[in-house]
This record gives sequence, C-alpha cells and structure tokens, in this order.
Amino acid sequence: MSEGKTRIAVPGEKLGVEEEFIPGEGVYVEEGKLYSSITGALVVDPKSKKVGVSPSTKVAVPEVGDIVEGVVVGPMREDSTVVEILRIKRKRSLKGVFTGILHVSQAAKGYVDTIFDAVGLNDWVLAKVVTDWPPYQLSTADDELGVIYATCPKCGGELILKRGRLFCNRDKTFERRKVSIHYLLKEGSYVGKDSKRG
Amino acid sequence: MTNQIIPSVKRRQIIELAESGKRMDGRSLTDLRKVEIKTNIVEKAEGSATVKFGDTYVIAGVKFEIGEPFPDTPNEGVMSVSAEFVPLASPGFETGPPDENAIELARVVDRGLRESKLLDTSKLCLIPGKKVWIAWVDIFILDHCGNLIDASSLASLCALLTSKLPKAEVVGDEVKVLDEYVPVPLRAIPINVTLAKIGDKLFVDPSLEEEEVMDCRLSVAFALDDQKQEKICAMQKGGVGTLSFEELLRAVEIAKVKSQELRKLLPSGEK
Amino acid sequence: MDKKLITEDGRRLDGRRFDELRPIKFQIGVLKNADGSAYVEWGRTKILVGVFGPRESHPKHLAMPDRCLIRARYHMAPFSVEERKSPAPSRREIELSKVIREALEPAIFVELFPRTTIDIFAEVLQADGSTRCAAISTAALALADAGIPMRDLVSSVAVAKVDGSLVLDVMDAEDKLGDSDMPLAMMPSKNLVTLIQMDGLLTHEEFVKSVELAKKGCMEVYAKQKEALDSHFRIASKEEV
Repeated sequence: MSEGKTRIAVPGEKLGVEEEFIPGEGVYVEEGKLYSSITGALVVDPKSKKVGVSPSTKVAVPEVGDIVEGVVVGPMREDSTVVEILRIKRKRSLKGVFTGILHVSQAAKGYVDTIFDAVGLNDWVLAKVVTDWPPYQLSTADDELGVIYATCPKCGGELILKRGRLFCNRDKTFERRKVSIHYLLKEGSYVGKDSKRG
Repeated sequence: MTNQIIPSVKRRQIIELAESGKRMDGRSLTDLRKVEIKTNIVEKAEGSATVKFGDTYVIAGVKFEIGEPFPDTPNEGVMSVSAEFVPLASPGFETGPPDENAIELARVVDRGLRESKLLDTSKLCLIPGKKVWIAWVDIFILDHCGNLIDASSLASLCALLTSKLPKAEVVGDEVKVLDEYVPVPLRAIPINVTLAKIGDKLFVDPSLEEEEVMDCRLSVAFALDDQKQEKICAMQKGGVGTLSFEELLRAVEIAKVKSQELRKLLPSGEK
Repeated sequence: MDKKLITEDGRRLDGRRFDELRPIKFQIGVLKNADGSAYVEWGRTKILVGVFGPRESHPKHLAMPDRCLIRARYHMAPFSVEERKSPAPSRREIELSKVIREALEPAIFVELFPRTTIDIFAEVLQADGSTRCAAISTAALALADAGIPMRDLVSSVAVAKVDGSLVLDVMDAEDKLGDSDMPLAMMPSKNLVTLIQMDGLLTHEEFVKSVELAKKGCMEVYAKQKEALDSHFRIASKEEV
C-alpha cells in the first residue's frame, strides 16, 4: 500500500463487503460484511482483493510451530512429563505460564526408552509446539531443541556439556539428556561471558 | 539465543556485568533510575502524589478523618499507612487482602515517616482523649518494576508535604470542620534509599530483575530536621542473604549520598 | 435540598449544557507490566485499567474447554472519594465488577482462546460520577491495547434526571441529588446494548428520551476512543520503522 497515509482500523470498524474483498488477518465476517477485530494498520491488496489489519500488538499464546522455553515440572512418568511454558520465542513476555506435555515419542529423533532418558525434573528446555490446544503437546526432537540448562539430581550442582553429554563436575558422573545445541553451560566457556549486551 | 531467564544464569550475568561497574539497564551501580514526581493528582484527597522510579509507578493519597486517639497517646493524632498491591501492577499480584509483602512495605514506609517525626501529631489533637485527626496514607502500587519501598516512601512523603488539613473548631464536645484549610504540621523530612546486594556488589535502586536474584536488600531512611541536622531514622533489611559489617557501613554511606540527591527533587519549598 | 443543579439559562453546575460530555482524555499503553492498559481522565473521574491475558486459567478448574474466561475487577482507591473508603471490596464494587464484565464480554472473541483467562482490572483513583461507564470505555481500550480480538469496542455513558430535565454524563453532585441515574453501554458499530441499569423514577417517555441521549453520548465517547487508538498506534507503528 502507499505509505504516508496509513489508516488505523479499530475493532468493529467496517472494512467492506464480501462481494468486494477477501478477509485477511485481523478481519472477521458477519452478515456478509467485513470488520476489523483488532487495532492496526489497514492493508488492502488491490490485486488479490484481500483486506487485512496488521496487528499493532499481538496476544501471546502458544501456536503450532512456536519455539517455547520452559521448565520440566513433572510429574515424571515413563512416557511423558509436564513442562511449564515460560516464554514464547518472538512473542511478548508471558504473564503467567502455559502447560505443555512432552511425550517420549516427541523427545528425540531416534528411539528413546523413557522420558528419564531425555529430560530431568527442573530442567530448562527449548521445545516446539505441536498442537494448538492446551495442554500443548511439545517436541524436543530437533537439534536446537532439548535441554538447555540442568542440574545434577544428586548434588544439585550445574551440569556442564562435555563431549556432547551432560557432566557433573562434583560427582564426576554423566547424566542422560536430549541436549539442545544451545545448552548454556559448555565445558571451558563460562556462561554469560560471550553474551552481548548494550 | 535464549533470553536468559534462568535465575542462576541471569544472576551470574548481573554479577559479571557489575565487575565492570555496569548493570543490565545501562546504569552504574550507584545510579538511580529516572525519578518523576507529580503532586495533587487526586483533588478529592487532602494530598496525593504519583512517583515513578523508571517504570515503577506508585500513587499515594492522604485523607484526614476525625477519630479516636490511641488510649496511650490521648493528646496525639494518628497516622496510618497502608499499601495495596493492586492486581494490575504485576502478573503475580492476586486480589485479596494485603499479603506479607504489602504489609512489610506499608510498615517500612510508615516507620520512615513516623520515626523522622515528619508529622507533628501533637498538633492533630482536637479534644484530648476523645477526638483527633487521623491521617490515612494509602499507597497503591500501579506498576511493579522494582524498588517499591523507595517509590512508595517518596510518594507518601510528597502526598503529605502537599496535603492540606481541614480547619476545625472545637465547641465543647463538638468539632466543627470548616471549609478552610491549614498547612499540615510537618517537621523533619525523611528520604528512603534501598540497595540490593547481589554477590559482593551493592546496587542502588534495584530493578525488578535485580530484586529477583538479590541476596538481600537494605533500606535506610534519612531525616533532615529544621535545624538541617541529618539523621538516620529507620532501617530495614529484607531477604534471606547476609551483609558483612563492611557492606552494611558502605551501604549506609551510599544511601546517604543518594538521599541527598532525592531530596533535591522534592516539591518546591521543601528540602 | 434546594440546591439548584441546573441554572435558569440551562447550564449545569460545571457550566455544561444538558447534552454535553465532560472533557474526556484517554491514554493508552500506560503500564509496563500489563499486557494492555489505558488511563482516563473523564472530568474529575480518573481510572486506570490493566488487562492481563489470555493466560492459562488458574486455578485450573475454572478453565472452560471451548472458550476464554473473562474476569473483571472494579476497585476504588481509599482516597478516591470524599470520605475515605476501606480498601476491602464493598458489595457495590462486587456488583459493578460483574456488570462491567458483562458489558465487555459480548465484544470479545472468547472462543478463540479456550482454557485461558483474560483479567481486566480497573482501579478508580478519583470518583466523580459515571465511574462504571468510564471504566467500561477505558477497559475496551486496554483490551484493544492487549491485542485481544474483538467484535467491536464498547462505549458507555450515563444519563440522569436532575431538576426535572435529562442530562448526559452524570457527575457526582448530579448523581447524589438527581432523581434518576441510567448508565448504558453499547457496541457502537453494532448498535447493541451491553449494559443498562437504572434507578430512580422516569416516565416511559422520559426513559425513551434517556436512551436516545445515552446513545448520542456513547457515539461521542466512541469517537474519542477511536481517536485515542489512532494516535497511540500511529505513533507506535512509526517508532517500529
């Protein structure tokens, strides 16, 4: 659309009729008429005859395909566990949590015997949302997904990523996890040192 | 990649940044956020003020009512401070009666105002033992972004400083409230400054993310009386961490300098 | 009670004509923590509204499988009125919370967010009449600021009968001394009433006139709401670029 003269549509504003336009984002149809359901700049595509409203602010609820960050809160079952979703990537901060479920079949690309082989209680994980319905089904199969921060179940110390596995420096033991390539504590590098801030 | 909301990771970042004297929001360790004071916001209150410390936003209102004095101080008026964490201020605030945090906040603010002898309660007595002025100071937290104690103390102070006391006439056992006002009898002016301790560093005017990972905080109120004498009038340590004696003394030193800075922002005429 | 609310030449206590609104100033996006927020100065009535959500319902048994739960709280600051009000919610506040929720809910696409809650919190900082109407109109803006899909905005105003005549946008003195009070809220572009309450005595004819006057008032409030949204989001979209 031409710039300069942006028109801001508000909820309930009539944008046209069905014979004229195809409803796009932020538009609903009632009795053959098109209305805006949100506030934002009106976008009309003269070619496709599509009218939409580009939202000025968007609600933050998990949707299929979203990458979320959360904590494994349990209970830990053989086949699944509950993850509290604390953040949705590229969406505004959450005011409260959403409940997610991680099933063992969605934990890794290969076969995983039980959920205990993929995540531990209180682990922080990156996961992808697979269903649109709460409680949200999650997947940690992709390389970037999985555990990003974990502590030792025996001593509570932070686990370090060592040769692709999580290691407790105090107990000198390895823990089984589906680790994300974004795991925060890597052997030799100290967290936060390399993070850039203004 | 991730935005580091894992508390222990964030804490480490805050400490590392502090090594070079910096903070997540770009301040130095001793910088206050931008402080904004507005007074006479609510005309129906006898005094009112909003205070912002960065995005932290509070309002305080003062109402005067005639009531009974406490039996042990029959010749003195009463000041009562309460704080409400209204639910629009934070996703974590629930509706319902004030919880321990709201009550601690009100009591810390109250102590600063009371111990400085800000309000001359002896001048609020109408009929000894029977009728006195009650000054209700109500604090509403509107947006919680850290350091509620200092923002609330300053808002309460500014509301009191700019409040007007109704003039009252005593005839026998009757008190007649007139349509005129007199200034509120005020004496020493208290200013509260809070520091958070994270690791071995002290952070003036902690933000919410700093408060979430702090070991403890120390609030110190300094009163300046009409002789221009500066005294410490109230203190509160909060949180489960500890302070060394050296840290305690250093915190008070810093707080004193900061209180002088805040004092300059008070509504005109009051110093 | 011989205080005149309307002068000989048809002016009200604050100089308004019978069909005039008080000055109304909406501000949008005033709080950092809330998902959406708005503030209004409506004459001397001052209200702050914050919206949270949609967020997961808590406690969980409140969750509805096919739609979003809407909760509203109307609350007055102790210093908002002449005589200090106890901060504990009164019966009046609890009723107003309910009618405010019911006035706003028809406008929200609740079916889009099953098993979640939207919380609307209205804090009255100063009350000078028509607080429920101001709260509803301001809450509609806070909901829009939160990006919550809505069928329409909601606009609200009250009409009173004082000294025998009908007046628009009731202020405190008129509410206390007037003969009747009728708050009304509507979805302005749908022409549907979402709230009506009335107390006092009106003839049938006066009632019809009151409704007409309220509708006219709502459309004027609507214009101000649109103006506020337009200027807020115009600036916001410029900043992004």
